[in-house]
Amino acid sequence: MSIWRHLAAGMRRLINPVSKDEEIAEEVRQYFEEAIAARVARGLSPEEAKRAEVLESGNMTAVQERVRAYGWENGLFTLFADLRFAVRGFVNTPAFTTVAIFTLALGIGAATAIFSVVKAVLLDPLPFREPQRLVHLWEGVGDERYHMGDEAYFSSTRPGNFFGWKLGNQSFQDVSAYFWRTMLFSGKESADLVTAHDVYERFFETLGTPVSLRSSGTG
Amino acid sequence: MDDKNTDVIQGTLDMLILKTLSLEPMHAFGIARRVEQISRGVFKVNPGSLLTALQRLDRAGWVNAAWQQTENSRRAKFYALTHTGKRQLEVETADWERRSSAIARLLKAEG
Repeated sequence: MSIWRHLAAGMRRLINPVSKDEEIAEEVRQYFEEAIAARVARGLSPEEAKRAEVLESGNMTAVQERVRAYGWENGLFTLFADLRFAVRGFVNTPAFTTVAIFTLALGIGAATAIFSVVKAVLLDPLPFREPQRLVHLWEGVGDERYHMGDEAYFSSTRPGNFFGWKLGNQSFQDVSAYFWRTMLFSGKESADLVTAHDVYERFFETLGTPVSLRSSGTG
Repeated sequence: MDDKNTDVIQGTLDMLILKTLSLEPMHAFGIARRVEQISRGVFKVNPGSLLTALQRLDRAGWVNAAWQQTENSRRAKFYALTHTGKRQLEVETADWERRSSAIARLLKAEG
């Protein structure tokens, strides 16, 4: 209940800050008038009464400010004031603003781009069913060209070896193969060189990826 | 005459305002004057604290505020106790009595 009253009172003041401020100012003014009148009634001159009241209660404006400072909406007023100040500063220094915005845009853009790559390469699982069970096998050859440091990498496996692996397989659900090559892809007016793979049977079943278009029995 | 007056004890201002308003609706200066008079000048309420407290009590729903004519035909904001305000006064009074009697016992205790 009370939180709604707090919220509603604050909202009302946010929408119409001037009227609430004037009301507070009026109430404080009225308080001082009454207090001074009470002192005059006790026999002080109006000037003495006024001075005594200010001495005791403080400056009227200070009291008004103190009463105005109550309420959660004051935090927002401060925020709005800061925002106005910031915007005015930007408008007054367009060159600085442009450079600042440009720098921010570049920074954010670069960070986003780098993260997209990191996410795709390092964080996201491969788009296969159970990628943790997928193993890439290849044949190491003596040729230096296929070495990276001590390790042999990526060279074509001889068909005989592949069939040997497939026949002797006891560890994997499926073994399949692909052959990397480039192909010419031609339309009516132009042709493109594209990267293509020949794949052995059960290739897509092994990866566990759905295939939208294929002809059966590719070999 | 009233040189020895002190600020209201921390945390009791709300209770004193609610108690004063339980007698009749009043404007801020009326509350301050009443507290000072009934405490025989011991407690002096600062207008800044008083008006802030009244804002708080209003938002808590313990008092309702409305502008009205005073007895000397000036306009003033009058505060009246609500039902929840009455309940709150009972809660705070009971709490205060528990505390003050405990302090009285402590101060009277002899080794």
